[in-house]
Amino acid sequence: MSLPELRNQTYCYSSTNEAAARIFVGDIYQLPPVVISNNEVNPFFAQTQLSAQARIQKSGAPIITFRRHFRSVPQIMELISQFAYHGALFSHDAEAFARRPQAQAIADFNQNHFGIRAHVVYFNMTNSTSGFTPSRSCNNDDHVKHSTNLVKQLIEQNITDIAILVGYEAQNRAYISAISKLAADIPKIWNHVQIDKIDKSQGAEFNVVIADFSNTKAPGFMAKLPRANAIISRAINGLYVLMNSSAIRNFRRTHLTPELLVGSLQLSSQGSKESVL
Amino acid sequence: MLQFKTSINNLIELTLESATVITTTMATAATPKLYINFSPILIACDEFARAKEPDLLLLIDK
Repeated sequence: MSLPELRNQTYCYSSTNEAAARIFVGDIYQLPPVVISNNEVNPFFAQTQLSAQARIQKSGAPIITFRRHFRSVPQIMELISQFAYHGALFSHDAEAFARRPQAQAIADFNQNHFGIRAHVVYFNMTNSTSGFTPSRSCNNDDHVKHSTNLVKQLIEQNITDIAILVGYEAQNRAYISAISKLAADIPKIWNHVQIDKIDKSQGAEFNVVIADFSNTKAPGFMAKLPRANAIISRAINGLYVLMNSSAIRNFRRTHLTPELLVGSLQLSSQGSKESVL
Repeated sequence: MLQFKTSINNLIELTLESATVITTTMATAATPKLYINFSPILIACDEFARAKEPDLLLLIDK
């Protein structure tokens, strides 16, 4: 079995031993099961984090890989494919994707505002610094200001169905407060914008996703590839990623996921975009 | 009240027995009423990568 087949997106497994056939569908490179415990109280904590699919897959069950990607425009699909699936995915109909009115509108918007006719824009927030709340949740005011300004500009150009996805509760609350203030200028703004933590958003899809990697002190929640993969793979026509790549380079070498994402972004977005704050 | 509860239980059992397709969460799939009264020929599970290993028993032991 080749490597792309092993690193599959979805798979099926059917049993012939029982009366009922079984088809299991999932993606082990997206979010794993939620297990609230730790190594101190549960010596088998690591085992409980392994999903049923991962266990079956590792045990050699028959697998069918679905590589055709139906959700995102080709540029976003390519980023997801390179980042998490070793380039194994391909687009369902690249030309049809590019003809979509919202895809065109976002490409035009990015051309006019950032000088890049692209569907993926990576903001390297070189001066952003994250802080921590007493409950050890992370917030980053620079990212909030930048994203709020971006949301306002997008809505003014009639680009809607925008999601701001974050990893931390404190950052989630900061965004809700900031976007609420826009309501004075933009009536019914909550019809156009959704803010959520990525752990609650798997399975959802949005016209535009603003992916906020807010933590500049440590990789934190984003150290694991499945969470970063889930956050970038929610977008249909436009993806904006906010990250401080210079801070990420100081992370310990064991936490390669953010650095890997920066590399994939720089390849897919025709060059990084510096902060426009 | 007792008769009402019995009637409701009977209705649930009849509904489950005559169903063609049932959509449910994995946790609900383990309830005795569903387990006893519905014998599927195909079990499909979506978002299976979010299921824990113990959840697998619910789907295999049927």
